[in-house]
Amino acid sequence: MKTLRNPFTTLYVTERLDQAKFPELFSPFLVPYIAQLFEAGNVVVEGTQGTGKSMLLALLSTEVRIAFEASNENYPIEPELCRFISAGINLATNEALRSVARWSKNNADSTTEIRQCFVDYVNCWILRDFLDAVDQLTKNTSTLWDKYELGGTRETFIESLPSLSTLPYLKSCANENPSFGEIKDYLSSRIRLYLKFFNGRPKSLPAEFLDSQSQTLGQPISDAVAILKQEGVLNRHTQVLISIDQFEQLLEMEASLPTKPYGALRDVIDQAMHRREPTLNFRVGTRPYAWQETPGEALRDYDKLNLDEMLRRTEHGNRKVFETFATDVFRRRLKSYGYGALAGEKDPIESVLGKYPRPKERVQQIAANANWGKHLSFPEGVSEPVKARLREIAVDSPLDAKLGTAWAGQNGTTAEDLAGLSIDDFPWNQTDKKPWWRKERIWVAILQLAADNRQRIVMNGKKDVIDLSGANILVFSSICQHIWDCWIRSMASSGATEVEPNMPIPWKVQTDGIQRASNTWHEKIGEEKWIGDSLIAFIDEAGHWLRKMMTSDKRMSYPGGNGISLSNRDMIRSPDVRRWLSEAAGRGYLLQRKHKSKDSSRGESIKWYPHPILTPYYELTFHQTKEPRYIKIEQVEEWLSRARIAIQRVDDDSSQLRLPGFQDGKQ
Amino acid sequence: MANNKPYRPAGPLRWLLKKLSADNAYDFIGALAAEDRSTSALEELALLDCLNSESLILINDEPSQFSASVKAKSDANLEILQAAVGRALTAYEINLFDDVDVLEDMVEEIGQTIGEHVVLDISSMPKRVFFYILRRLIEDEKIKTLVATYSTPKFYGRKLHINPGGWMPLPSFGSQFEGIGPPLLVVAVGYFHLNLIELIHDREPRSVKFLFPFPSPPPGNHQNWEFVRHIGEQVTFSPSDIRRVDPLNASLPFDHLVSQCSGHTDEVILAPFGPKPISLAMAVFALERERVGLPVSVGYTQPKAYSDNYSVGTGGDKHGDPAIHAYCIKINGKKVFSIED
Repeated sequence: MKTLRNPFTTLYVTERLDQAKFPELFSPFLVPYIAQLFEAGNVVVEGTQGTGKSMLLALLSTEVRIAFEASNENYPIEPELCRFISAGINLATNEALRSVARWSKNNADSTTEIRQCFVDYVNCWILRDFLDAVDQLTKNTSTLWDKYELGGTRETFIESLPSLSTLPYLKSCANENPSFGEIKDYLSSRIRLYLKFFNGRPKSLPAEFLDSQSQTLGQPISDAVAILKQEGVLNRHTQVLISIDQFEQLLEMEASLPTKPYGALRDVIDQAMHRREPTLNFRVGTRPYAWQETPGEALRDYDKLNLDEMLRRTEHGNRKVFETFATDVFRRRLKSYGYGALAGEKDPIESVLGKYPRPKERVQQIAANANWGKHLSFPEGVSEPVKARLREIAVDSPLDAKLGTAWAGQNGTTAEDLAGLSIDDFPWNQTDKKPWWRKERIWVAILQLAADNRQRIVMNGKKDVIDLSGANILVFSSICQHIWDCWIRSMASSGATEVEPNMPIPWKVQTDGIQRASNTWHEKIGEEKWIGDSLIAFIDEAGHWLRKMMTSDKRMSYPGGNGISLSNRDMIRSPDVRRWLSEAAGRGYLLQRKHKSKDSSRGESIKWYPHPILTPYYELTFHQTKEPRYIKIEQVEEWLSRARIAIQRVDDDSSQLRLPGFQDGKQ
Repeated sequence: MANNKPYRPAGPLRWLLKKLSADNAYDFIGALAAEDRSTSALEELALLDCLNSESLILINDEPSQFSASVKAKSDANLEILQAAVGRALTAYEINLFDDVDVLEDMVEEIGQTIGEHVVLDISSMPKRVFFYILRRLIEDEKIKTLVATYSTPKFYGRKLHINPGGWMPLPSFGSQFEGIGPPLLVVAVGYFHLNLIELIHDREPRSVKFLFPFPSPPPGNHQNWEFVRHIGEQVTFSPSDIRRVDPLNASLPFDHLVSQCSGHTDEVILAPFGPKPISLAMAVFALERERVGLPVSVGYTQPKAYSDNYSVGTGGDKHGDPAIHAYCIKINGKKVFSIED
């Protein structure tokens, strides 16, 4: 019996994925949009969790480049942009952050001392990584070295080692004529001494060690690059890229310290880029909430790639960037995991998931045998004869009946108004007179029908999955992973083994998978470091409130009420409201947009919606139609209060997690 | 690598002290905390009239909705303790997130006041603090008798803590090695997995093994299995990777650790999320592994603050006395838990 594998078992495609798999699974779709990543200059890659930052930075690594050479896939960059060597550090997976373990040592100078240890540790790590890359590439010049004319021969590298050992940073290296192994061992022993120091032993670093500490991030690598270029090991045109991933970890560390020295560690990276070191090009991967914006565009020392914006934008003819990207990722995954026939389909997502249920079909999926008329709820003021008529309509056309309840509530419809009319003639269906009324209320009508019958709204099909992903490839992969898991289980229980005849995946299986994915993402909120319990309590309050308002709005006066809007003027009054909305938006759990309300007296406003993947959990719709619900900050403060988050209407310097637009008045 | 000290005295504190030298007077080190059970061990030593001195440590969490209530309960417990020992008491005051240097200064100060026989009560002491103190007491050759105590509560609250942070090594228990092969992760299963998943994503352990508290009455049992299920969504493991251990036993989990980590020369990461006696076993195992020169680290995703209702009451034994479990760590200057070089 053929084993059915889940193509989405490994969600992340980063440098940690088996290198041999990387070329096969990497989608080059975004590459044309990120050319500056391979050009001279500093680049900050910003994006919420799962937008693909680490995947893009992994593309720079020597191991991944070599893996491409060994595979049938072409490295997705044109050759003239490949003249680089990269080195880097992932702040989440090494021990650099432990430098804060000695924070209170010598209190007065602790900030300086700890920063120094952090800088030197990172330099040591990156220098070793860089020299390792040169060593690896010059050992086998036929792969990348000669192809991209990166530099001289292996011999020139070996001959340059004595010069390298004269660097102040390596002066303690015992041998004046060291081998590469000895230099590497020296750097490793330096790292190990730091690790012991972070543990408390030794109590202090030796004086000669302190004397050789590097002062600024990148300096030792820059010095080494200068020597290697001078000695002909590297060609003049060869760029050196330094990648620093998971920058947000620095903010988490700052937040963990009793004195909350916000910026103390992040400034180190900022200053390194500010130096505009000509031999080095930094590549920093960060989540939006951690990056400290440089005031003023002109002073920027870096280009910024905002992956969230990039993936959400639409292009010529409304071709959605994200949908195409997701399709490419989907196809690669299927192909790699033995679903070649499906991968070869014109639209593999649609082949697996189907299109999407039409509104009436969706209503039947919610509760096929429901007594729609019995459970139909009405706004106040609808007369009994109208109710009776709408209940009759509900038997065969529950969606039309539900829309009718709202219409009657809004317009004071009488039984005579409906007498003798066919469904198409109902006033709420006359799109020539009220072209948007029905369209804008379809989703809230479906939501209320489900609520009337104590059922959940049903989501399935390609369009739903793409929309629920909210332009986030990790969310997309996560939904697919859960759907596939459910499908494999259903196949096992039915004894089916053939793939193609069982496609598209049944809608019930998809709905189950989507609900599980939503629950998982909801759990993720609670896992946010240092604020998880508070943040999930806050977002839960907001989500449940939105649900309550949407289901109780029987007139459907606020069909866009699955989002909220606050005026900037109002928000000035409450730093805590700004902070917590900022925390939620910066981490991607709320989507945030600037907007202007119809009521000009409100002035500039910002609206927020729960990320679409959370809407199945909160039993909300994700479509952003019409105006969001306008609220006052007191409402948000009530959610905060119920989440047991302290509120004060004074400036709060501890609020470091910014919301673009709150600091400089623009979004 | 095998365990060569099979007998490790442990049992009710009153019983254990009788088995040790009757002339011993003990220096007590414990937390001044909000939990009812936090007073039991010191009260017992006072009652048995074998108390030489007491060092209380007040550990301040980050400010939270629990702060005021925690302070009120801690103040009330101080009064209980003062009545028990018959004199005014003061406490060393530190912050939950203070670093290794602050802990070292405090331990040095406490070291001036203690003699050869020490009782360390870990009942209400966060792992960040008791792991370091235990390390220093084991290393201190002056100390001949070291007993760790743990009092059970009547029951635990629903919400134990708030806002856990990321994975960080406990002070002085970080890895001293780098650039070696994939680690082995051993997780002591608790009620809440906090942010343990992050560690698994970041470090990608070669395998994950569990110490599972058993028996654990419901609803704790359900939470323990939910913990395992959650981890199981991220990594695969076999049923044999789950070792059931008595939540009040330190010896059995130590032996399991020795066996689970046997032959693994790369880093072992210990995640003490379970009952304190299992954490105690992890602490002594980590120190032993470190002693024989094998890489090991112990970490935790420390919450910012603990609930004012973390636990309620003190569990009782069959006579109705507080259930204070005691574990010998050192006797006659010799370590009770050890592994062969």
